[in-house]
Amino acid sequence: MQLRKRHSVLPGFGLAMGFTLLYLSLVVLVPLSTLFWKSAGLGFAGFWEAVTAPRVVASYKLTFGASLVAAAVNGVFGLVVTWVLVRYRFPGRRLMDALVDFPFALPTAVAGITLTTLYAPNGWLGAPLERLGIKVAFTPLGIVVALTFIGLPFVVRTLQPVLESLDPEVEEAAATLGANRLQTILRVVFPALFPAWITGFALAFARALGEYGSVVFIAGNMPMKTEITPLLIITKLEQYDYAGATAIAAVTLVASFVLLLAINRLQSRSARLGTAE
Amino acid sequence: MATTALLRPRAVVAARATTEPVLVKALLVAAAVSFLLLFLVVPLVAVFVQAFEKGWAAYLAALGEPMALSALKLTLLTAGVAVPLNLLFGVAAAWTRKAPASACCAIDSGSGWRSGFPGSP
Repeated sequence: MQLRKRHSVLPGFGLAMGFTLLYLSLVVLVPLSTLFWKSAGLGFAGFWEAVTAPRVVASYKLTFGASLVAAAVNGVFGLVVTWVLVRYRFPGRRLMDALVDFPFALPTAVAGITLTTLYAPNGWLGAPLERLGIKVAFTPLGIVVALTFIGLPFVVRTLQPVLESLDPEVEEAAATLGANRLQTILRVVFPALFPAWITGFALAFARALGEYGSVVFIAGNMPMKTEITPLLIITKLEQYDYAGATAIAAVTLVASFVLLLAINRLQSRSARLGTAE
Repeated sequence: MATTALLRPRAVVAARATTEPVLVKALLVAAAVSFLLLFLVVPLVAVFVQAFEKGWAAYLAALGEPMALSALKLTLLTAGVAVPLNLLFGVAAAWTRKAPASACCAIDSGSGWRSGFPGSP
């Protein structure tokens, strides 16, 4: 363990670290810090008023709730899709593999318009669902659908390399020690996949929180009902209320940062436990 | 006779121990395929149906518009600049991470986390 602490295995640590910090500062940290600086212009009372208005609070609940549901759906189905892609051979597998990246490449506004026409009451999927009494477009359910579409590649592409690099010998060893298939999967395969799975979930969740383009068309954007926080921020920006917009953005950012930090800690702890065992 | 009776159940157990029953496999494949059909294939088909709704001529005319062309050019150019920059950053960021205890964790905790954020499209 002590030996591993040396960085000298790879040369150029200082250069790489310096470049990483510079790039990270220019692209992420400096723009982010201006966010807090801008919102500070409101003063504490004004800030509090801006971020706790009922319409804003309703949008937090919707955004975080829908993002969480979408990330959970992606967590379950992303795991199934990854498992099937990596472990089984069936016709159309390669096509399916290529298709997973499609939400990454499609401009989000196009995704939004397409999903809206699909799930509108007269759309291909909206019409049959409407007959069943399920409304998707212009409801929170529609938001979940759009966020699920956007988040799927994060879970699959994070899990895939880990599942591929998992040694089959480990499962064979479990089997020779008397574990049945279910036990092997639950107690040998899943613990190895868990850190990557959590990361994929967190990435999908984080992306969903900030997602704007694909949601605004399908959401309907009714205040208090289907208005997401990013839309509220854009609305305020269009009214030249920069301080109000950045105040809401700062709250969302801090909340999602705390959530992601918690998820990341869970992930690194389980990674450490996984390697200790 | 006695040897085959001994061998056969062992072979069955070995097969079952490292893979799932056919029924489970089929169910999982069906679940994955129907999820992807619903969430990816149907929207993909819808995009192309909408694009060609007014026929090939309208599609090509829309593509040939000077504004569309310059937008396409700009998108390709900016992506062409941003992607190498992020690639460089991603390699540098990964480089700074000490060799972790196992290779599996380098893949998930390191690269997944960092490349996902700054480079999310």
